[in-house]
Amino acid sequence: MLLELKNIKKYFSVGKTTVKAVDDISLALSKKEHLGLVGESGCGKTTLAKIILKLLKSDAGEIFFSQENMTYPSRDRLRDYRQKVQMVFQDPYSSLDPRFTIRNILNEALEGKKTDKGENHLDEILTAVQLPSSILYRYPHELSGGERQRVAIARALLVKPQLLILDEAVSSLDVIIQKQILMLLKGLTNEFDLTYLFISHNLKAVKRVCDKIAVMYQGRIVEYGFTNAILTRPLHSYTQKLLKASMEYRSDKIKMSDIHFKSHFVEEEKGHFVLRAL
Amino acid sequence: MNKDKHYSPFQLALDSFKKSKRGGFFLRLLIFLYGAAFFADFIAPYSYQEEARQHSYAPPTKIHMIDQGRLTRPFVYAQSLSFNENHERVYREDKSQRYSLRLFVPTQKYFILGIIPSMTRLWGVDVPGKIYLFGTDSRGRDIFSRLLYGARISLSIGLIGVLISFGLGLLVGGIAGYYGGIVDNILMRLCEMFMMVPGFYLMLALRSVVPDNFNSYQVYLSIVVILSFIGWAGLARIIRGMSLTLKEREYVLAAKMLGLSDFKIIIRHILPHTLSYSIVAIMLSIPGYILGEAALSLIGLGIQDPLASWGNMLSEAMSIAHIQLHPWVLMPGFFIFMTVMSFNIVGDVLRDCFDPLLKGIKES
Repeated sequence: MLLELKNIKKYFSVGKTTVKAVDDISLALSKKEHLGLVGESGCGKTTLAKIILKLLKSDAGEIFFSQENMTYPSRDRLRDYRQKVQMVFQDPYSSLDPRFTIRNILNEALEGKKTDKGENHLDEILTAVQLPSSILYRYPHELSGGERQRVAIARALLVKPQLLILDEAVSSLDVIIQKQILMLLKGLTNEFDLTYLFISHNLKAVKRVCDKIAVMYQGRIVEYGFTNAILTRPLHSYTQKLLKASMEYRSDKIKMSDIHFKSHFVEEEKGHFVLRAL
Repeated sequence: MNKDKHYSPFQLALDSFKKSKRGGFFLRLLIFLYGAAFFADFIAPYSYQEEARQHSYAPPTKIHMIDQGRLTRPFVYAQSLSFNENHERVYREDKSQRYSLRLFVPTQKYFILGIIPSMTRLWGVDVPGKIYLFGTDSRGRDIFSRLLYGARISLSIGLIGVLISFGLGLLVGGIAGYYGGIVDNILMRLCEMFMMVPGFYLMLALRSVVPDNFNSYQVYLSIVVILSFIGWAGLARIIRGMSLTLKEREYVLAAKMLGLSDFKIIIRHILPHTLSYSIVAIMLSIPGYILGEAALSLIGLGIQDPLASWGNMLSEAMSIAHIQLHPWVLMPGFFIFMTVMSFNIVGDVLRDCFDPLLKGIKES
């Protein structure tokens, strides 16, 4: 297992009520696995990602990375950890500092690492994300959304991470560029030995990239299984709604009848976690 | 704009500032004033402490170009002082003595900027003639020369004061906003302590702490420190607010994940983004320092005679009788007005330039 989350909880208090952003989530990712985390806005996907990245402290629960307990890391280990886990953000317009040229943005990623490759390395990574090297001298505001997102991916890849978290990384792009980026991500998998946590509400995108899907609803993971299984035979009512809502999957493709076959799944005590026979 | 070159938003903003006529004019005026202050000892015809008691409150000297209907090189007449029946000073031109205006007149040895020895000044009249472009003060000192020397103090106090207080304000605000929590709380309560006390009283209180036996330069430095001590808190609060939102920006999170230290993140990704605001704020707050110094010097707590500053020169204009009889002692006031207005306009134009561009809209 590369990453293991055990009973992670994160509550926010808003006035008198508490919002359970992440409510007792356990999750495991093995090496080179591509997991899609799907759910509606506000269901706690990003909060969970931030907890994994240690940008937020969880209220309870434990995080293991390569069998190492990262729940309360020391400063040095946190630094190390953060380079092994990188994130690509949703909005490519705000994830690049507008004052920096692309070269400076990318060089900053190399700063923490002890590499003497420098410039060659930048060229290599730009080829990997299919950008011309002339882009190095430009500023973010001169690039298109797709180009920016590629720069953001390149920056994340420069530190040679083991786990890449993509937080709605394609949702703000138009469909054609979405496709390009998704193809790119798939292509990079083998080249860089990557494990993905792909956060999205776009089922088509998830289908393209991920082997497994976890469906999140109100801070909990309500369904978890192989992509194909979930997309063809959703069990939780929320997943069904989600599938119906996304236009790509016409309702006739989904075999609703399967839902009634209780033999297909085991219900956990808590009642909200549906475990499939994987 | 050159298409092959790439401009940062900051450069784009500066570019649009360069295109602004209003901003350009007043910026040049400021550069001119600062240049004049820098080369004061060369440009001024007299030193700031050169007295001619027999010429006290002399009006601005008339420069003549026409002699008996013919155009000649400019010259001035000697002036003689007498009193009228009301015991008021009356200066008459003594037409028998003419002194030509000259460039590079020889004087006593002095040091330009305190380093380069020189025996000439840029312009003046033949000795023993005197030229007072803006008249003289009570002790017969040339107001024009004193204005130039005074500009050194008055104008530099603004710049140095602003540098100190903005350095402090940016740092404290940046740290408070970035770390938040208890650090933020402590630093902001500290700021509020400074903001609570009315500025002028705080200034007077701090001034009274400064020992009496300080020489003029120590007094000058202590005034700079006092003024910047008052100014930083307000800025720190605003920068803190800005960095509170800036630290949530995704490029800051990305930098965090790349393993950059907090200090680097604050310096590189937070404070530069407050620059568009702080440059304007700097421009708009320099007048405050100039006026602060003027106010202190005016009531005799600032720069002491014989050293000149615009504020202490104005203290001659405190009585209405003087203004009536010798209106030229108000000249420093006019220069303060010009400087303050220029800074305000330049700041205003800068704000217009920075505002749209840093929000990511590119000018076509």
